[in-house]
Amino acid sequence: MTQSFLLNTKAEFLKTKKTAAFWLTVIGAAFIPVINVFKCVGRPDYFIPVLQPDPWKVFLEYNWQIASFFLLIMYVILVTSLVVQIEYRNGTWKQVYALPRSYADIFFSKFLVVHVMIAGCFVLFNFFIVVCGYGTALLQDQFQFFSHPVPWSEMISVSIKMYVSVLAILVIQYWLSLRFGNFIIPMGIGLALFTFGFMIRQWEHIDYYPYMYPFLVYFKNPGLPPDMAQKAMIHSLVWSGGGLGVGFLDIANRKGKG
Amino acid sequence: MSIYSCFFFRLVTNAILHRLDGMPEFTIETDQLDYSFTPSQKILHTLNLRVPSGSIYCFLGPNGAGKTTTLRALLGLLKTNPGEVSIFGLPFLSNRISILKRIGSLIEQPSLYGHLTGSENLEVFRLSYSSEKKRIKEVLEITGLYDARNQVVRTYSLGMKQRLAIALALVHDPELLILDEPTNGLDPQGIIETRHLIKRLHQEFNKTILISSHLLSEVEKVATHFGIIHKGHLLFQGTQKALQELRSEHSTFEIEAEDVDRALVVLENKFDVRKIDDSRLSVVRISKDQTPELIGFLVQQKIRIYKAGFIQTNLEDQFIQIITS
Repeated sequence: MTQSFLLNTKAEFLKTKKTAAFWLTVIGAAFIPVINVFKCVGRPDYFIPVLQPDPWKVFLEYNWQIASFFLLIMYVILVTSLVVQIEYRNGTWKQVYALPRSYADIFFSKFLVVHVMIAGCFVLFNFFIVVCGYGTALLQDQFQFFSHPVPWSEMISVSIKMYVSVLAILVIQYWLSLRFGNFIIPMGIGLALFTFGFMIRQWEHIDYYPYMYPFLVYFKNPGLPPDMAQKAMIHSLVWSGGGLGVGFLDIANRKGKG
Repeated sequence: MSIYSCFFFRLVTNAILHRLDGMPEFTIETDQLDYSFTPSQKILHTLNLRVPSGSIYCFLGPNGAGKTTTLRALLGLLKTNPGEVSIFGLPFLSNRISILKRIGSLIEQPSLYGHLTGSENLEVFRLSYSSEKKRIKEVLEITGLYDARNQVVRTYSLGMKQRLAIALALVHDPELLILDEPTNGLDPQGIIETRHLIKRLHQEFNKTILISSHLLSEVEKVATHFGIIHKGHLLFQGTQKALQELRSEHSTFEIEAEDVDRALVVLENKFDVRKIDDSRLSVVRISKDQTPELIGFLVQQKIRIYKAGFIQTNLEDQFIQIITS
């Protein structure tokens, strides 16, 4: 059973080879750090003094602020849809369900692929932050990246928190992507829920609203209780566990498959 | 009935149902299979499909007859009730995974990953079936795609895609192949190639093959058994011979002769003959084997024959006749 799940997951990974989901993960991870290099090198008069005391800390903030505000959520919505779309676009769902695989195997192996892609994106994002930090210093030697140590523990800590914060969105988007063959529907619903969340972000129960979790976890939220970030992470885990169960039961019990 | 006689009865029944080699008499059996997408719209009506082991069973019907729905139900892609579908003598619902391990399928258009190469597509399915790596080369050779194995599938012709889809169905060396319209959209050359491949799979590799089609002229040449479906009802099911007999029952032999009235008198005691007009007669329910005898009678009576032959002799006409009667 475990071996068959591993083989099927390997097959699922093979399907993502050379796909938009793969390139989105690589390019998406590099996008913000590279833009930040241009930003810093383009206006050294402004940024050298700003980054002077602790360049890595400030540079890390520049990157995570943009990511947690919008791009991370967009990435999760897009990559989930793109991975599931591999089957819809090629008309292969029926063949997948005609394989000797349990419904749980099909559901969770693909979910694992999306998971690994997102985790990979986090690793690559951190990698590009470091590379781009040093790159900035190479292009403009007054940036002091080489004389300060890379804050690995902070990078890992922020990454883990942000990873937990997107789990709920990931599960909801995964279910929507399986439910709707049309790529636009899960994308549209995801964007609409995010926009709506942004509009109600001062709501005292916003910790129950998954599409705002990355925002709540990364930023300080004036006007909201101080433990909002912690609550958001716990609720994200609860949402993802519950969502996975409900999503799996819904997909497994559909009258027609593929 | 005592418990022992019950047991004995079951033993005998099982012995009848199973051949000595352990293969059931029918690889696929459906028992009163019903299916509807909405409560008011029934797609399949109490279908009792029987696909004999070792056969090439052609499932015929026009578009929308219920062929694909039936095949999807057989593969578990549509929810059926317990006991409605049995494959390899086992109820499908309680043995889904073990049954699917022994089936290769192609449903509707080929299901292929266009961004991957032919080999990579096969590798995806090989992993899921846990087959040996060497099977990829073998099925590529069987389907004549070995030279195109490293080509991205989206650049394949439709015929190549169809053959690759068959290769995917073969990667785990299944006992049963379920192929839904495998010649659909192919040019004449592609149709001939696919037909040869199906024949070869049956003869050389001993596969039981269930193939659906609306291209009757094509399946007629490869089938050992037929099932004809129309509007969700199974109208006919049997061997090629049984279908031929049915065809002869429904076909008409037409004769153009000099003295039609005299010919009518000569033939009416022996054949079901009718006068069409002053120069033509029609004979119904006549087999091909009986025609020399019929012609012989007329020749004996020195009635001059200008033209004689069957009308509506191909399976397609027969099929249309069956589904419209």
